[in-house]
Amino acid sequence: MFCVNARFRIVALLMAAGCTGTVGGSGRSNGAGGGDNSGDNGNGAGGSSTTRGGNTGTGGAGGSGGSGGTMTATGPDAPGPVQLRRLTNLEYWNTIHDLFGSSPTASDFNKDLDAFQSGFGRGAAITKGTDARMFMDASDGIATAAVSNLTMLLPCKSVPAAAADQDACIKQFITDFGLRAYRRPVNADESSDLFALYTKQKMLGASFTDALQSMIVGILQSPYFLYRWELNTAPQKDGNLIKFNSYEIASRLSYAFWSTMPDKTLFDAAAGNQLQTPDQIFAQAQRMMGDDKFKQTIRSFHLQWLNGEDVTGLQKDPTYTTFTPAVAQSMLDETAEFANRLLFGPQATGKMDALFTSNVTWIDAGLAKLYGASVTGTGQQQVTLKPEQRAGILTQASFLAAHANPDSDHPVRRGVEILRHVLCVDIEIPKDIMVPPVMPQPDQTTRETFTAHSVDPKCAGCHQMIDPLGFAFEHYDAVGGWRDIDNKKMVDSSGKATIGTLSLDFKDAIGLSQQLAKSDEVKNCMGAEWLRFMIRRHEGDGDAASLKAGSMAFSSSGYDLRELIMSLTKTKAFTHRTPSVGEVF
Amino acid sequence: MNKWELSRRQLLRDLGLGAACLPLLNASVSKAADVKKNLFIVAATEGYRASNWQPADGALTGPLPKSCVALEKHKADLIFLHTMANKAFTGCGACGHGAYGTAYYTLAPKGGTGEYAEPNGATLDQVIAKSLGSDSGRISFHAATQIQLPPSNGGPGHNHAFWTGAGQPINPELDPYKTYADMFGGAKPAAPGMPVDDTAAKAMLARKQSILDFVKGSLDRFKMRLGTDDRAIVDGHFSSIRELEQQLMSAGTINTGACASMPPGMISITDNTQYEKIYDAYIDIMISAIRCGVTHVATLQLADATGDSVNFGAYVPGVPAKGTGYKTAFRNWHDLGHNPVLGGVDHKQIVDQWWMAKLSVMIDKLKASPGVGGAATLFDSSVVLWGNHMHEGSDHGSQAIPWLLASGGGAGYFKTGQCVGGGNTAMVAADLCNAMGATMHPFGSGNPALKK
Repeated sequence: MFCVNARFRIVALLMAAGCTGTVGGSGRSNGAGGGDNSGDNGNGAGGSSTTRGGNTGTGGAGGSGGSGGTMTATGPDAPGPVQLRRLTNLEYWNTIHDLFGSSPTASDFNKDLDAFQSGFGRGAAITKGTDARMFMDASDGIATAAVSNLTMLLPCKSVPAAAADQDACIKQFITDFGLRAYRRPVNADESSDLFALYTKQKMLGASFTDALQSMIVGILQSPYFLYRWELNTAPQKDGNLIKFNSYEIASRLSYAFWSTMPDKTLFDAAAGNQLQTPDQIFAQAQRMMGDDKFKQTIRSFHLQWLNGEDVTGLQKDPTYTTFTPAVAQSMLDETAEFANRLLFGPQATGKMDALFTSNVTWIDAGLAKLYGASVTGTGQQQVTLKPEQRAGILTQASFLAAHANPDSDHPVRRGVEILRHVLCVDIEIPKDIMVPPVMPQPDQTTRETFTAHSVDPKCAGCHQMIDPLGFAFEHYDAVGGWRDIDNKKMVDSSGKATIGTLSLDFKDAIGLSQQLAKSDEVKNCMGAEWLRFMIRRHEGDGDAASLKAGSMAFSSSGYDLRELIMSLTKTKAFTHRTPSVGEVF
Repeated sequence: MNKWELSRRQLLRDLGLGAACLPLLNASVSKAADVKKNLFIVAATEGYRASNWQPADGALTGPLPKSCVALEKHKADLIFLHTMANKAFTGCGACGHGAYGTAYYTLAPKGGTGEYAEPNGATLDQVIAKSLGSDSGRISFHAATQIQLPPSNGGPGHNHAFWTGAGQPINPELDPYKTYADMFGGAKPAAPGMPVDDTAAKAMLARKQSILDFVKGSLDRFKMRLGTDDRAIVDGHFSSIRELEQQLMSAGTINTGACASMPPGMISITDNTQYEKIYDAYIDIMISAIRCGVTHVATLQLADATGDSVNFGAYVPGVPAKGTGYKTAFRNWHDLGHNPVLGGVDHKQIVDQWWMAKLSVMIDKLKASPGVGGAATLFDSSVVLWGNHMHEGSDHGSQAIPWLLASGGGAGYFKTGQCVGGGNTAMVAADLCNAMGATMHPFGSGNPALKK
């Protein structure tokens, strides 16, 4: 159960929305989670809440903050420090693919973790020998496959006969391959270390090819490959901030837009120091958005944003015969394709309104059955769903099934998810409350049960916001199927809610989605969520100007999400950082 | 090195991932005598039905409560702890799930507003493990039973109970088969079934060592300019490389032939009906790892912060797989917490009793294992902490924590055969450190009532 305490505050949204207020609190309750888990009918967090995206105040960026060395930076246009993060599993395997030009069989690494309260992933920490062994074994396999095609891999195309020629070939390889693996030129010390590794291997009896293979294994276990290294090059100071250099911007762009390493165009631009002005960066962003690789990022964002990606592993009550592992996968594919069609390709409009209101979607026959729709043939087909039942991403099964119990819907979880990630209202856990579990009652609907559960005055504050949002989805069961009857009673999905300056009054999820699509709060929240995704940290006060700039571009474009995303690359939140505490210059 | 053993191990590798091999309990001690003590931590969730679990305070003179009946024969070696405060969790009193990630840190958590708190330093297992060290390079071993199964929350504090430091959650091993192969494996033969060429194996090891030297050098250079928090991440990575390095170096020094046996079958780690088998396999592996001198500290997470994926109805007698009133697809731990009694039957108490029987079996196994360093049995040089982060599932209490310690003769430190209420978990952490010889610890003073 989510409850409120007296610290509930609504804060300023973006300037473009015309909102004013006071920033309160910092950090995010739980980017990856949201609410209690299934089987828990409402127990858990709740409390004070804070709408994010403010432009004044004292909010933090999460994790370490403050100054580095003697440099300090404050104010609305002084982005917070960047936190070191390892490549996510998606980024790792995409990068391997692009580095070697082939698709190796992905190994199982540990599951990604939430990246610094952003709600989006970072690679799990490497802390034990078993973790290190995973990367050693993966590197072994990748390198073994790579050296099977020396023509592709080596600048000299084959193994030179003379030792001196072999050395020359390896040195050139270090320069060429090192640039791409480390995503910036390899410096003299690093080059020397890599060559030393090669020669050591030969001393130990390795052949040229085996020594090369070992060197690749070393590179792939190097932190320069495994981590986003933008923290680690010689800092380029800009006042009290550090401005990312062109290679660093190339990486920031490539991982933000493609979830992989930079391509040749980006490397070339970086080599020419052509990624320093906002226009230069924007031009690349525009190009990258038109590449197929952007689709993976669209998918990644939309499945992480609303925490739908775990739906494939969920177990639902067997009475939900339409729910199978294959259908669960289809749910994710539907959301990904829905978002792709909105953001990618010549027919895409990019309009945020459609994200929340469109009843045109792409589903296969299995998922169609759950929706009560008809699809012939195999694979995804374009379908227009009943407009009185479906409108946009919040009425898609991936969202609805992910935030439900195995055998019933869960209005609190759905409401919390919307509050946190569609409206950017943070909810804190209250202290000193005892929340009884919600028990299903034989003569009550889910709504009636949860309503009775939320009458405690200490809980009412947050639940006044959470519950109506969740109740709007009472027409959708535990797997996202439509229902008119719940426990032998007609479903009531109507509601009213006031969230900051936003007043909502709706009769169902369709009405709610339509109102959310028009709300300034949601528009601002989309900017914050995309920024969090791109920089993998929670925004702080120093990002206010960046969020404002994104919001203005978003507004000017008629709320085209593509313009929002591209405009964020021109902001200081993307191009600059504050030094970290203890950083050495 | 026993070449047959190596080829057999390769055979095991070739059996395929996702399977587990067990048991390992015909192991015999093969390393040189070791006087160090050993720590087992089993991290449970959803607390206990207190009235059926918690004995009266003081000496355990009367019969143990219903849930602990299987422990009756061991009660002279037990300390029941209850109603302990948890300073590591500052969230609400009924938000026990959120305390999961800090339960074994026991001190003030890292700042932030997350539902699932994170520790601000190393958990007690790591404090002790670093103090004890390990010849094999594994200062500690960490496993979990099916915490990877959905529904799961991606927050680190939701499914990580043990941490090397702030922001450094330990990823537990999930597949007993793979663990077995890694822990007791050695050099690989050139081809499955072929004998190992020791010369080639040594050469391969030397080459791997030079690669790891390179990686360590890279990490050292990489961290030079980083900020404090980021340096800690790289330090953690560096430690993992060093640990791997030591593991590689020690491969073959452990007489695996004496520690391992042919597995009787396979276990799917994704099938939630196989949970008990995975648990049993990991308990055997943990005991073998300590017997064989692989490590002195072993932990096992029985669930994540909620236990939603644990399907007790599939293997606990008396808990039906499905019944009227279930709010979940199966009778999971979380559901048991909230809805312990259905149809007049207290399923949660049945599960509590089942777990205490499992603990009893674990103690039996430790008592049946030869001791090291002069101890009569492995139990005499070991402490088992059967932990929890919650009072009772029905109240989700975060500040009345029940733990259970088991040790032969109190490992020379603890006054066993009693039930102690009050205090806090940090005091017990301090006592555990003191008992294990890790006297440099951050946990403050122990609980005088626990000490001999």
